[in-house]
Amino acid sequence: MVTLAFFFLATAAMIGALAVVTARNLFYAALGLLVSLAAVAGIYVTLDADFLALAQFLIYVGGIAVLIVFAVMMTAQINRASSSHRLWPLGLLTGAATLAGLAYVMINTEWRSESRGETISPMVGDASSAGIHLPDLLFSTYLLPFELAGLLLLVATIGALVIARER
Amino acid sequence: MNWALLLPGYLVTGLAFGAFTLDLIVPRLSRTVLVYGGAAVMAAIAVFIILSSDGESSRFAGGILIFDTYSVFFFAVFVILAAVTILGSSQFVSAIDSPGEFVALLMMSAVGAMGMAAAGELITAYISLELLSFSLYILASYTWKERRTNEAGMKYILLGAIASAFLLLGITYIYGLTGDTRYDQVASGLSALSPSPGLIIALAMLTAGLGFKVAAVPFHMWTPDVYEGAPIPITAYLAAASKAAGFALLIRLVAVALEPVALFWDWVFILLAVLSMMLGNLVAILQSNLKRLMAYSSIGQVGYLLLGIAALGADDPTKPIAGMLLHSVSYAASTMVAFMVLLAVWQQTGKEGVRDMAGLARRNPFLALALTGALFSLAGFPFFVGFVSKFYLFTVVATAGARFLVPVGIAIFASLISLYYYLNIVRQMYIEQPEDGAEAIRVSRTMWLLILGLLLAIVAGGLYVRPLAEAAESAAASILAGA
Amino acid sequence: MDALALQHYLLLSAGLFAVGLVGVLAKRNVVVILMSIELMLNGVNVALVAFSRYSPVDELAGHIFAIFIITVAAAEVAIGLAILLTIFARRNTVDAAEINLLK
Repeated sequence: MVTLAFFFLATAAMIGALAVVTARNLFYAALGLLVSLAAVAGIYVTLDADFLALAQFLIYVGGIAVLIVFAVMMTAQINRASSSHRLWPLGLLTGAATLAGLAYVMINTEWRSESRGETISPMVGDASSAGIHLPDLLFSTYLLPFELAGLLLLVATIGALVIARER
Repeated sequence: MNWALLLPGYLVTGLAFGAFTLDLIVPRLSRTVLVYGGAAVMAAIAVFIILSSDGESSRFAGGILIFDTYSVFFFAVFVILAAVTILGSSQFVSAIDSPGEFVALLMMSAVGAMGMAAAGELITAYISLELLSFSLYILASYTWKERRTNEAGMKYILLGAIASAFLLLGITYIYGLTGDTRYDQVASGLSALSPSPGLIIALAMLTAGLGFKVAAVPFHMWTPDVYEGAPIPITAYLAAASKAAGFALLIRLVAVALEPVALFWDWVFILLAVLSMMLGNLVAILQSNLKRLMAYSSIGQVGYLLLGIAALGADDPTKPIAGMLLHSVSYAASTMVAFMVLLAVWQQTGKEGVRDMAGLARRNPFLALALTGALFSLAGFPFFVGFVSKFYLFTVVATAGARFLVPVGIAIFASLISLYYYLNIVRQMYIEQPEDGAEAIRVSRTMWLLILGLLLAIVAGGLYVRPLAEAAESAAASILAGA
Repeated sequence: MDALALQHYLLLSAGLFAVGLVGVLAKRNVVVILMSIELMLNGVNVALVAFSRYSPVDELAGHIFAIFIITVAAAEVAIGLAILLTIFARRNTVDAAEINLLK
């Protein structure tokens, strides 16, 4: 069941990705990105990463994809398609080589472990649920990176405003 | 968790917040207060950091951050560099629309840099790197009304984001192979592995991502354009602090986390080093814009530092680490002097070409003297700290193994090449006639004092380097002690 | 081996990363380049979460890292678009070739 869901979602993600890169119409490219991001959120669900799936949806689909659509709307010249670089075959070749290389590496490497194991529940379920949980980690061990990420968002917000303000 | 350890970070962040809000609530905030106050408090923080360090190593939250002498060393360096940049941008700040944010972003970038030096774990290292980078993307685009800056800023963020993606893939594979992101766990995980395709790809990606950050060849393409397009104080900061931060991260990463594979991978760093030294210094000869010339020269300097990274696989990595620390500081200081002189000239004349330096000796002897000192230091002339740091670094690398003899020879040759184009600038200043109508260059008292201070520092470093060298050596020992 | 193995997820990760890379190298529209970078980062995230899931011990470092990467990606897009809009406002183009961004 999960396997089926994975294959469906993975295909959707790849089709969306290909749409971003090959669509002539910019808006279709943005839609392709949206589909891909949503599919990846589904992938996270198959990996028992519920919180991450939600975060992906909210931030990527609900935020970034919308921002990109705005950008496309604001900057698209209606009669100009999303054109490719002069040297696009080289890019394609590099991408294909990367894919082949990475695929080879995946299959032939001894990763630390390859068994799926029991279902995990990263968010706190009931009081007796075992295992480690995301909130515990995020607010104890990884508290400092969390705060740094907050500072990073502050810098980005202020920076974007400083640059894009109307004079 | 000992929160008191984070005090330097709190102080600088708090100061940055102060700069943000002060600009907001005080209606016509004096730029003077912002710049001088900011720089003064940063300097005080640096002094506090140095005085309060007790030589002990502490780990924070199980190794997320490591506060040892190495961290303290770099904390002081970054805070001082930020303070110097703030002071140097006093005139720049009076002309821009958002002065508070400018100063605050410089401080936040210092926080990111400090995180990169103290990170004991890959996630923290990455977030700190991005904090530094984002601040720099914005700062480099601050004068976005100019076309050059605009284009350079876009190029910087795009290429930076791509490099980040590569770096992340490398970190991900390391995590997949070893199961943890903390440096010491990664090291024990890696020592249990034999080289596999996954490991090679992981290391390649890490090298690519971090290579971009420090502008090593062949990942250097962004440097000349971004250095040219950014406002001069930010170019100075990029050349000095951003590179130092990149190496702060790289040194700890390779010396601690990647230590089992350092020997296996050192030829890659040697290759990158040789390419950087040769390409950086050769192309610098052709440059007519001083900012671009300094950009290529800094690529060459990175080559020397990369040789140090390559030497980390040898039996005793303490010496190469100390050498790199010493050379980073000497290079950062010398570069700052050079850029501050360029800034002073530009503020009066609006010109930044090599030819525009003609007759500087007559127009302002002090500036000419300072620039000469800086360039000689960068080239490695005796009496300046650049000579000492290069000598130290080259010696320790050469004694690290027979395979380093040729690269060090190339390094010495590259230094001679750099001497050529540095001397060309000196010639312009002292021998060439100034253009008709060129007037004396007046320098504000702040700049004068700042340049004088830095110049004295690089001369003092050249004559009496013992305190700095000892600091570098104890910093080096402290990273390895924990591992 | 399970029916759904680690390799499946890693292959998807590689696929997203590679397609993103093609977009970055071959397209001229800066907005498309930004979108492609997001694809690459998504590929990395999938790999991270998969490594976390398929690990012998119960650990979530991959999840945490993925959350942070999503955060950074969002901020990156914001700044990137801000810079892009300043170019667009002046030059009315977002073509990388015209902006002289050709690397």
